[in-house]
Amino acid sequence: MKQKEKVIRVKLKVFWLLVAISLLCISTDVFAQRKKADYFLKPQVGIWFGPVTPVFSTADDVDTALWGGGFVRFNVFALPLKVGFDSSYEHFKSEGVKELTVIPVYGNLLWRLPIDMPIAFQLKAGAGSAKVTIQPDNASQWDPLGMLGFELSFPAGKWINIGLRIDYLFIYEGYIKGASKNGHIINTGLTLYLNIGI
Amino acid sequence: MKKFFNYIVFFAAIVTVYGCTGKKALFDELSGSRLTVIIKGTFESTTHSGSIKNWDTTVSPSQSIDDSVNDCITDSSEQFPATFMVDIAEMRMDDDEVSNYRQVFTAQVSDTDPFFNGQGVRLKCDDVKPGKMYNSVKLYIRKLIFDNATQWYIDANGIVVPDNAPQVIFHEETVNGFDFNQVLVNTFYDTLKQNSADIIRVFPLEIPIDGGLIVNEDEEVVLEIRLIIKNFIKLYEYDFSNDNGYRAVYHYWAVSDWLRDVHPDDVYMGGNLLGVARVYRKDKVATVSGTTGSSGYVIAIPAKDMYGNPQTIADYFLDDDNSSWERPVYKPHSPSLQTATIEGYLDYYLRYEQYKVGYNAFVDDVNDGSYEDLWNAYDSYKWSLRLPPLVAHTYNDSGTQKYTLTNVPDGQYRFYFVEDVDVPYGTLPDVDNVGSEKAVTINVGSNIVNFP
Repeated sequence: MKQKEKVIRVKLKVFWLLVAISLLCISTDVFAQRKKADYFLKPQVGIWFGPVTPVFSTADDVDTALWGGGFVRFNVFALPLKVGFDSSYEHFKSEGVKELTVIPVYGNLLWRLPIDMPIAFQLKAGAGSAKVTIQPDNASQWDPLGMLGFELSFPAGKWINIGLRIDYLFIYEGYIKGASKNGHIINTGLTLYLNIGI
Repeated sequence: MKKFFNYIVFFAAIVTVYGCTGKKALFDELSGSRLTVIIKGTFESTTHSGSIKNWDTTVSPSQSIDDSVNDCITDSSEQFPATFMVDIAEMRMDDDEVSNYRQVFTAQVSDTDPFFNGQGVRLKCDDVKPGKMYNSVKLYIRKLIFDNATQWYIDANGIVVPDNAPQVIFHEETVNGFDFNQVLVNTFYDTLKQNSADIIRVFPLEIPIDGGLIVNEDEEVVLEIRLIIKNFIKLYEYDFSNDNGYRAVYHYWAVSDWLRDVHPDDVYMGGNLLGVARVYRKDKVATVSGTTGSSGYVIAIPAKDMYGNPQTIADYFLDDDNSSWERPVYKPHSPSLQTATIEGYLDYYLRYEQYKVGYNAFVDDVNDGSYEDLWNAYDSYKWSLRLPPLVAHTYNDSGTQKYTLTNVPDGQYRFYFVEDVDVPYGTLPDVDNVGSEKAVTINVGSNIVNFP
């Protein structure tokens, strides 16, 4: 009896999967229409806002906070590539006196995944610097920074795209004498893109 | 467009190269600390375990049973505590939250436990601001527990009966003992003063740092906090009515009431937990050793205070001949005890009425502030006690009394000696008994200071 139920359940699953796939196939037609005017290809300025989380060894010292940043991006020729320029302000506190402020400034290259959907998936990688300030020492300096990230966004009209982003920031101090730690931060955020025509 | 792309790449490259100008390992500094905090339970500062006076575990009314214990005394059944338990909620330096961590530790009442043998227990601590002057460390103490507390009650026949040992929750577990932290709430016991009941002395316990603490960049320092516990505890009494309505008492161990005397039937003893803190750099310390004529304490203080003014031991210890030493008390007429005869009762009640009349007149008399002045003079005198930063006790080495004082920062000091006979159990030295002053300059390395 139970076996029979199982078989029915599996059959139902397959059915719904087929329905979903066929719906998806039908809708690509609709998307294809809109793709002719893909405003996402225009130059963009944007802002993001969300939890910034210290990870790995950095998580031992400071806690997650809520901050954000901004960016500008341009398409490169006809390739699915964009170049971008990002900056943000991130201030981390702890239960005690320790505080960490990071202002990353970096350029990055974004590759839009060739998926034929109105939702744009982008992978990105970049490099730059970060101004790092620590308390209670009240010491600060610029450190080199590398980053990897992922974004997805969908259009909300001609001008605006709304998206989500996850970035991993690596702040490199390993080259400094006596250093045994580097900075690790994961930024997640809600992003608002403005597609502007130049 | 291609040109523009080049600009962007060029810009990113410049920014990246600019980032490589840092010289400090900031993330290491963020997680590291310049400050090591050590807490000890001894009057002595030395880490030389021989130069720390051994526990005297005698239980007797003249020594470790306080004179405020007046009910249900059965000496032979009271035992010296075996375990000391501490629960610290937080530690601050002035108002900086340098150690926002709950820390719990248990020390055995023995001469080999790190808390009592000079080694100390390390407290977790974040960092301090370089270049900032700190004057005090604040310990937010949640619990201080000694075991071997007892409970007694007087039954219907007037016989003292032992009851279950008092229990208390320590570190989320029920243990035998009494948390004397809860009675450390008063500077002065006086119900005539409005603030008598709400001055908590251990949340925080503010411990002055002798000479202050200032850490420069690239310096690492040790902050040594000493709570005076070893050879400084006594048995006290807490009166109450038990669940069956019988008069009952707890007998519990707590810090000595040497500074602020606890009277019979007093509940509170705030201000008696004494502490001192000092700072040293590990790479700039000396060891001082020497001999003395008799057994006692060798005490050293910096020759100058933090403002550069010369100072002596009189700036630290108090004098029990001072008019503000004795606690001001309006004493009831004696005898205040009932006796079994009818004359005894009549005498008692007559004197009690007389006391009430006298007390009312007294309140009228002192309502002009004079009583408050007396109390304030007493209180401020007691607060003026400073404990010396450097102390060692002598030990007998084949007939010669020797001492070793470790971790002495280099500089100019005044050394003193006080004999054991002048420091009975449960007390600290009186300034009159501290003598043999020597002005000494201590250099990094080994130094010798002998007392004849």
